[in-house]
Order: sequence, then C-alpha cells, then structure tokens
Amino acid sequence: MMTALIRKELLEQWRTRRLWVLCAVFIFFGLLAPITAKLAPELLRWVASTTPGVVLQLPPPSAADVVAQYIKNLSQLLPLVVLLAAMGAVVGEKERGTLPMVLAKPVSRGAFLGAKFLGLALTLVLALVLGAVSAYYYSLLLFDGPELGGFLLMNLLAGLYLLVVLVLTFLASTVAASTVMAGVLAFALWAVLLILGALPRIGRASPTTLLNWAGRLGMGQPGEAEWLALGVTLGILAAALVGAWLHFRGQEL
Amino acid sequence: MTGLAIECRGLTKRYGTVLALDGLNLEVPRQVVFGFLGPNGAGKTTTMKILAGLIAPSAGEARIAGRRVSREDPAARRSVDYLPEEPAFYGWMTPREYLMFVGGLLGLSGPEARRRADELLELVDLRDAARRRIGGFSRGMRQRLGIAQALVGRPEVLLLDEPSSALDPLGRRDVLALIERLADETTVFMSTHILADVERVCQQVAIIAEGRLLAQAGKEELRQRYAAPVFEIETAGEAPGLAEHLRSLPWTERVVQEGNLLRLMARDAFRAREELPAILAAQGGNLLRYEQALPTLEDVFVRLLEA
Repeated sequence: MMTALIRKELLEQWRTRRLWVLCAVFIFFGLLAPITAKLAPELLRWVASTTPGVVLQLPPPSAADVVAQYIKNLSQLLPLVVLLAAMGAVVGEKERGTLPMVLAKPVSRGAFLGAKFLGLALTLVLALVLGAVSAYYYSLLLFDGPELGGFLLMNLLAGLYLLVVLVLTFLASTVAASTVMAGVLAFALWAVLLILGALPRIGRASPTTLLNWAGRLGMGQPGEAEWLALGVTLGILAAALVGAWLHFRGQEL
Repeated sequence: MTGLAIECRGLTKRYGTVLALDGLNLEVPRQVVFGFLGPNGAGKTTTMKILAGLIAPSAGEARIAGRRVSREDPAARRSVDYLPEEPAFYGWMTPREYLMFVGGLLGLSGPEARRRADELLELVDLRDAARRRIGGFSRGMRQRLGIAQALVGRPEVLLLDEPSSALDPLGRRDVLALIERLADETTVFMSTHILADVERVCQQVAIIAEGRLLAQAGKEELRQRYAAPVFEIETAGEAPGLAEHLRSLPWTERVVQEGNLLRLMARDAFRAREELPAILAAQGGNLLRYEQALPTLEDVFVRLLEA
C-alpha cells in the first residue's frame, strides 16, 4: 500500500512537471553561483573603467565566493521555490476532492501523509543534488575548488535547512483550509524562523545557523560545530511531521 | 457475524449546533440494491461518509458486514468501498493507472491490479478510453470510473452517494444499468433523491428526513403501507377549475397537476370511486382518461415527508 502511495506521489511530481521545474530551478541557481562569482568582479571593473577617476581594486574571485553566492541562493530564493512547490500538497487534494476516494480504502492517514512527504522530500533531494553537481562542476571549470568533502557537508546541512522549510510548508498545507492560506501560513512560519535566527543567543539554536555552518564547511573553515542548531532542526522536522499527522488524523473529509 | 450488510444504531452527528443525524437506526440486508432516500439536507451524505470511515459519528455506531466502522481502523474498510457524489480523480492519470493505483492500495500485486483494472474497464465500458487522461472525461465517464474504482477490491458493500443525480439522461441510463448488473455481486447502498432511479433499480428502500428514519421496507410494502389511493385524470385540453374543485373535496388528500394530467391522492378511495365519475362527466368530450393508478414511490415519499 505504501509503495502504491509513494509511486503515485513520484509519478505526480513527474507528470505535473513539478519535478522538472524544481530541478531546473535548482540547476539554474547552482550554475548561477560560480558564474556570478566569476563575472561580478569583471563587471564591476568594467563599470569602474567607464567612470573617469574611479579606480576599483578587487581581490581575484575564488571558490569561496562561489560558496558564499551558493549559500545566499539556498537561504533566500530556494526556500521560496520549495514553499511554492509544496504548499498545495495536502490541502490541494482536499480542494480538488480527490481525498475521500483514497481514504475510503484501507489506507491509514499516517501512511497517506508519510508517502506524500516522502515524495516531496525525494523530489527536493534530487533537485538539490542536481543543483549541487551543477555548481560544483562549473566551480571546477572556472576556479579550482571548492574542496569536495566540505562542499558535500555544506549541501547536507543546506539540504536539512530546506527540509525544514519543506516540513513547515507541509504542516501548513495539512492544517490550512486553502492552498493560498497554506502558502501564507508557511511563509509566516519561515519568517518566524528567520527572525528567531537573527536574535542573539536564541539564533544560535535556529536552523538558519546551519547555513552559517554550511558556508564555513564549504569554504574549508569548519570552525565550531553547531550541534544545538542541528538538534533543534531535527526536532522541528519531527515535531512538524507529528503535528501534521495529529491534525490530519482528526480531520473530517 | 451478523447477517446484515449495514447496521446503524443510534447514529448521531452534530456539526456545531446543527444536528445532521439524529439517532439513525438502519438495517440493510445483504445482496440487495438498497435505496437511501431523503430530501436535500436529510443526512444522506453524512451517513455515507460515516459508513465510509471519512467522518466519525458524535454518538451511536455503524457496522458494515458485522465490523464496526471507524476512522482509525483502516482494516474495517476492507469490506466496503465508496463513490462520492462528485468523484474527483487525479486528472493526469489514465483510468487504467487510477484503477491500478487503487489495486495497489488494496494490496494487489502489479499483474493482479492490471488484470482487475482491465476487467473493470470492460465492465464500465471505458476500455476504449483506457489510455486517455481522466482530466478530459465527461461526468458520465467519471461516474462510471468512480464505480469501477469502488469495485476493485470486490467489496461486500458498495456505497454510492447520489450516483446519477448530476448526469444527463444517457449517462444516467448507463450508470443505472451498471448498478443493476452489480446486484448479484455485492450489496449496493445508494443514496438519492431521484425517485425514478429507486423505482428502477432498488429492491429495498429507507426514507430519512432531518437525520431520522421515517420508514424502511421493500418497495411494494412501502406502497401498500404508506401510499394513498391514486386516481389519474387526463383531459384533452385545459380543464379550468377542475384541480381546484378536486382539492376542495373532503376525501381528497392532494392533487398534483402536470399539464393536462391530474393525479389525485384520496383519503377515502371508496368515496372517490363513487363521486369522481359524476364530477368528471361535466368535462364531457374534454375527458380523455380516468383510472385508479398504482401509487408511486414519489407518492409515498411526499406523504411521509408531509406527515
């Protein structure tokens, strides 16, 4: 039964082109990081050269710039893409009326939710892997790095951060009455996460701290490990999934 | 194990201050097409959803094939399947894919699910559309596919919520013919407010209103128990004042006019038979037909609801 549900989710991602779009966006931003790192200084130099009296001195671009740009994309733009892709996951089925016939079968609500989340998470992982491979390949072409081990760990942590955005959107999609409401709620939850991450002390435990750690790992300067943030992140993942299940279990369809 | 297909005891459902079901008691025997009748808002869909395990009752219990229905017990749904009033599918799937998906949910292996899907596509006359996207299907095709998906697991009880109410005459004819064919294989519990459909396919009927059972029996028994004697009067042209005159008679219960046809339900059949000929004689050549007719389910339905 679980296999049928997961197969349906993946097939849906494929047929509705959500998988393609998500992968294309991640690949685009993956490619954009090394290209931007390479071209931005040259562009600035050219602008400066057209302005009389201005002399611009910039350090030569490096793999560290790629990592910085990559992390910036992962923290600012890609969460929004994940949110848009996942906000209708559960509530969309309610709105379209496809749920009653599925849940009238001997299917537990937990299995239904689990398969749905797994389908989304697998799609996200695939898109992230493709985006990371694109970024790494172009970084090798344009620069010398970054170092592979650190880059992999960086993506693992950044992936966890995006998974938090996904799970919060999933929770919002389970409790909201419409896809639009789910989007608004998910955005609000993400905003709370960002605000908490910016606060002194508390921010240290926020999943956003994972991105700082990821950036340091990508640049080959691991620094202090952020175990607290990692623990809180895993806690949020578990709590949001359990919350979604508890809410969905009692919903009347 | 009880011999009943469906059993409801004191089934109650509250939505805030609204009482959708008010202690409904119901017994549905096995291997019949059972009509569940009621006006809009009577509680038919709520009952269906409780039986399908989609909502929980506020009080009371429901059993299907002897097993208590529960939202938390998926295994209890092995012996029942459900077609909602407006079945919605994944529009990007083909009907064969959808039926195979349902087969997977029911634990069928890939080859079993494919074989069952093909059997059912044949049964519901969708074999030619097997490779088309469901998104482009007509309502009639969706309804037939809806019935097919509910049959994948060969359920002992099939719940059909208003299966023909949104269809055009041809779609309705096809769906009713399909339901008639299913009667040998399963118990069909069908909610509707279209009395002609019940007349055609159901052997037993329950009538509910405001969440309560008004009557339950075989169709003939219902007619005998609840229907008033009916007289049909047909005129060639308009008969000014006739309907009003008939309504004013003390032994008349109700007069329904459809064009030049009047249906008179009498409280006292003997007096009606005695007095009507004289009244109608005044119509002269305008009178085409006058006869005592068999009461219909509609007569029973209206009488019970008005009571």
